[in-house]
Amino acid sequence: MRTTRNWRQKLSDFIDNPKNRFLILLGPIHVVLFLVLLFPFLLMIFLSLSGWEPGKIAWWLAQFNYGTGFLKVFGDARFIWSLARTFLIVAPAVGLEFVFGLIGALLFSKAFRGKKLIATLFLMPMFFMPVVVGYNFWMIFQPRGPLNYILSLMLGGAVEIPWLSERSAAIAALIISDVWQWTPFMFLIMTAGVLSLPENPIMAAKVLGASDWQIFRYVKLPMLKNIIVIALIIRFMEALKLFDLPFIMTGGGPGFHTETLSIYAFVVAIVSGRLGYGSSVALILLILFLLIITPAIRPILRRR
Amino acid sequence: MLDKLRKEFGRLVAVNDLSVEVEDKSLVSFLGPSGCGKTTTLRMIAGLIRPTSGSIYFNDTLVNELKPQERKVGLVFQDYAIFPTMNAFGNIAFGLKVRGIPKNEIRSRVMEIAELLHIKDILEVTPGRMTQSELQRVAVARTLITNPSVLLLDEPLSNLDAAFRVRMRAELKRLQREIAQTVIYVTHDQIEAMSMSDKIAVMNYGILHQYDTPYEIYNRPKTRFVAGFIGSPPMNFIEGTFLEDNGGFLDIGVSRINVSKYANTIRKESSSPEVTVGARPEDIRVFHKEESKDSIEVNVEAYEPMGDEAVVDVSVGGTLVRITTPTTFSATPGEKKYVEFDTDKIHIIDRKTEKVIV
Amino acid sequence: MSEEVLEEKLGISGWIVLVIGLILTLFPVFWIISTSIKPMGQWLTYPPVFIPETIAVENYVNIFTGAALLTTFANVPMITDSIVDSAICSVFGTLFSIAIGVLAAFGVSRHRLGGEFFPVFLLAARMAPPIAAVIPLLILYSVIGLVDTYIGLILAYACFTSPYSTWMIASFIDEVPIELEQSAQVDGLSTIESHFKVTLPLIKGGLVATSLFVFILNWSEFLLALALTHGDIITIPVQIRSFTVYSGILYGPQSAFGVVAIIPLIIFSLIIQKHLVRGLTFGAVKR
Repeated sequence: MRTTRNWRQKLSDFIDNPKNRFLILLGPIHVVLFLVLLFPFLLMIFLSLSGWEPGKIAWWLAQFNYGTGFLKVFGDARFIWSLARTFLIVAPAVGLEFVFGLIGALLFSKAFRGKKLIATLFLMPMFFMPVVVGYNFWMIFQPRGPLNYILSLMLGGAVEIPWLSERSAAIAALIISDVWQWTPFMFLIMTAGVLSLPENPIMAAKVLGASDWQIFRYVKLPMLKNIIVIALIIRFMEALKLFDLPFIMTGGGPGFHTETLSIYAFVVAIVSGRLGYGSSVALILLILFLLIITPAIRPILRRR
Repeated sequence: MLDKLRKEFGRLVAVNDLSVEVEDKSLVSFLGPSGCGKTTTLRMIAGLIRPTSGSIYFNDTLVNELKPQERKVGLVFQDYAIFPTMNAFGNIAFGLKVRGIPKNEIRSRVMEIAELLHIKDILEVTPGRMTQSELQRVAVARTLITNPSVLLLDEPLSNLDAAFRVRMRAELKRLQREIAQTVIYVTHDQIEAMSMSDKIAVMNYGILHQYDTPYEIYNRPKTRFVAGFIGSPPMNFIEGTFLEDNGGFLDIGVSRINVSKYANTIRKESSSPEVTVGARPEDIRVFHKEESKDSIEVNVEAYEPMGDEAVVDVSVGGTLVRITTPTTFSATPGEKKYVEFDTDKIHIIDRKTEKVIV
Repeated sequence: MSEEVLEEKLGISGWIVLVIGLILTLFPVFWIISTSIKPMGQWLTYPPVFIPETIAVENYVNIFTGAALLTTFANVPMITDSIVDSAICSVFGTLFSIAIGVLAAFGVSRHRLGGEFFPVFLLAARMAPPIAAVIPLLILYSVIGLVDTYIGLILAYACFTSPYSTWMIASFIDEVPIELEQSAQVDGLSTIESHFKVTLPLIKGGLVATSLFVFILNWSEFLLALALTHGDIITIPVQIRSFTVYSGILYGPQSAFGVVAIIPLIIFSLIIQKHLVRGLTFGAVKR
C-alpha cells in the first residue's frame, strides 16, 4: 500500500531537507540585505557609470558617461568638507562620551544610596528621539535662550554666543548635543564591563598595597581594554552616520558648515533632486564605510 | 592573634568568637570542612571583610581599622587571582611597583624570588599560558616579595593534581622554614594540615574546636568532630553506656569494654552515662579466635587489601567498624572474627556535649 | 561565601561629580517639559522663563484637537495622524523585522549558515549609512510606486532593523543549550519543529526585549520617513517639523508633542533596560 503524503508532511519534508533549510531560514533576510545593500550598491554603480538622472529621462535612454559623474565627487569640495566635518564632530563627541561614560561607570562601581534611580536618570537621554533632542537643543542654544542666560549668570556678563549661527559654535553645539544624547550608551557599556571584572584580582591588588588609583590604572583598565575598544568602535561607526541632529538643529548651516556626510548626500539627492549624482555620493559613502568597517568589525566578532 | 573574632552575615554566624594566637614564624592551619568559616576568617585577617565584633592584633598592634593596603599581609587566593593582563614578571613585581620602588631594585628582587620558587624561566610568560603549578608559584611569589608580616594561603593546593600536591606540600613547608615566614594556611584537607603545620586550628560551623599541634590533635582530640575529622580511615564511633558495676564498663550492646581505669574521670566529667566510644582503625585488633575475655565477636562485612595493610569492615552489634590490620590477617565477608579494643588508646565521648573525656 | 563587605563608599568628590552629571543630564529634560507647559507669551522671553506660573495645559490639548490659534493665524497641527501613522509603521515594521530576524537567527546560530562571512555581512548592513541605501531605495520605490505608502515604509523599517533583530535574537538563542532541541528531535520532532516548539518559547523574554528595542528604533526613525514619504503618510519625527508657522515657531505645542512622543519610548526602554547593552553591542557585551 502506498502511503500518500499529505501537503503538511510534504512541507515538513521540504523544510527538513538541509539543503532547503538555507533557503527558508536565511531566505527572507537575504532578500532584506539585497534590498538594503546589494541592490543599492548595484544601482548606484549603474547610476554612477551612466549619468542617469532618474525622473528626468527614462533609464534606457541615459548615456554612458563612464563614471565621470562618479569621479566628480572626488573633486567636489563640499563633499570633502563634509567628510572632514563629520570627523571633526564625531571624534571629539565620541571621545567625550567615552570619558564621561567611564567616569560614570567608575562612580557606579561604588556603593551609594539611590543608585538604581540615579542610574535610570542618567540613562534617559538615550531614550529620546533624535529629532526631539534636536529641537530641544535648538531651543536651548538660541542666542537669547536658556543656555546663554545661565552662562551670563555664571560669568557675570552678558553672554550671547550665537551657537547655531556661527561656524565653530555650531559644531560645538552639535558635539555637545551628541554627547548629551549618547554618553549613556558608553556609560551602560562601561558599567557592564566594570561589573564583569573578576573580584579576586582586584582584592589581591588591594592586599598587595595598591591604592584605588593604582588598582584602576594597572588592574582594571587593562582588563577593560577589550570592551572599551568595542564600545568605541560601535559608537564611532554609528556616529559617523550623523543626520538627525544637525538636520534639525542647523539644517546643515550656517550655509553648509555643519553638513555631515549623510546630510550632504541627502541634500544633493533629495533636496536638489539630483538622484543620479546623489547616488554617486552615496556610493562613495558606502565604499568608505565598508573600508572603515572591515578592520573595525574583527574585535567585535572575536568577542562572540 | 585573633581575639574573639566574630562575623555574622545576617542571621548566619560565620565565625563564632574565634580566639587564636599564632606564633611568629610558625605555620598554622585552619582546618575544617567547606563553609566552616575558615576562609571568612582569613579575609578578615587580610582586611577584606569587616568583623562584626572582636579584634585582630599583629604583634600586639590592633589592626581592625587598617585597610587591606595598610596591613602588610600577603594573601594567596584559591584561584590564584593572577592579573591576566600582565606576565609573570609584572604580576610578581606589582606589590613593589605600587610602592614606588625603583626599577632596578624591583628587577633584582623579582629575580631573587623567582629563583627561590623555580619560576625564573617563565617570567615572560602570560597567565593564559601557564600551568596550574606555575600560576600558583607566581601567586606565592607575588605575595612573598613584599615581605608580609603574615602570609595567608587559601586552599592553595586544591587546584593542583595529586602528584603536584604532594610535591608542593613539601616545597611550601621547606620554603616557610627557610625564609622563616609566619603562615596561616586554610584547607579542608587534613593530610595537608597534619603534614605541614606547627599547629592546627580545627573549625566547624564557625566554631573553633581545638587549637593544638598535630600530634595532640590526632591523639588527644577534644571534641567528637575533631576526633572524627582527623585520621584516614576515620575514627570509628560506637554508642555505649557507662555502667558502674565491676569498676566501670562500657556497655556497647553486644559486649562490654573494661574501662575501670577511666571510671573516675568518666564519672566526674561526663554529664550522663550516655557516651560514645571512639577508636581509631589502627587501635583495634582483630583475631581469628577469642584471645581473651575482652574479645568481642563480630561479623566481617568487607575485606579490602590495600598493599601493605588491609582494611576490614566488621559489624559490632549494629555499627560498622573499620579496622586496619597487617595483610597477614585475611578474612572473607560473612566470617566471624574477634576484635579487641586497645583501651589505652580509645576515646570516650560524652554523647551530649560531644566532648572527649579521655 | 565571603563578600567584600569593605565596599568603597562614594566620597564627597564622587557625590559632587554625580550631582553635576545629574544636573547636566536632566536640564534639557527639564527644559522641554517646562516649555511644553508654558503659555504662548512666555515662549521667547529673555530672560527665559524656567518655571511658568501657570501651566498651559492647552498646549497638550491643542495638539490633539488642532485648534486654531487666533494670534498666529494658524492651526496647531493635529498630531493624531502622525501618531497613528507612526504606530502602524512601527508596529508592523517591528513585526516583520522580528519575523525575518527569528528565521535568520536560527539559521546563523543553530546551523551556522553563511559561515564566517554572513555575520560580517550582517554587521556591515547595520553599519552602513542609511542615506546610502535610501537613495536607491527611493528610486526603486518611485519606479514601483511605493513612495508614500504604508507598505513602502513598513518594508523599509523591517529591512533596516533586521540586522539588529537577527543579531539580538541569535544571541538569545545561543544561550539555550542545543541539547534541548536535540532531545526533542530524538523524540520525533523535526529540526524546524524543535526550533519553534522548544527553543522559541524559552527565549520569549528575549523576543519581547528585541521587539521593544526594534520598536524604539522604528518609532524614532527620521531619515527613512523623511525621504520615503511626501505627505500622505507622516510619522511623528517628520511631523514634529511642521510646527513652524508664519509668525514663528509654536514652541509650546511642539515641546508638548515631543514629550508625548517620547513617553512610549521611555516606558519601553525602562522595561528592557537589562537587555539594552546586548542589543547595542551586537551581543558582544552581555550584562
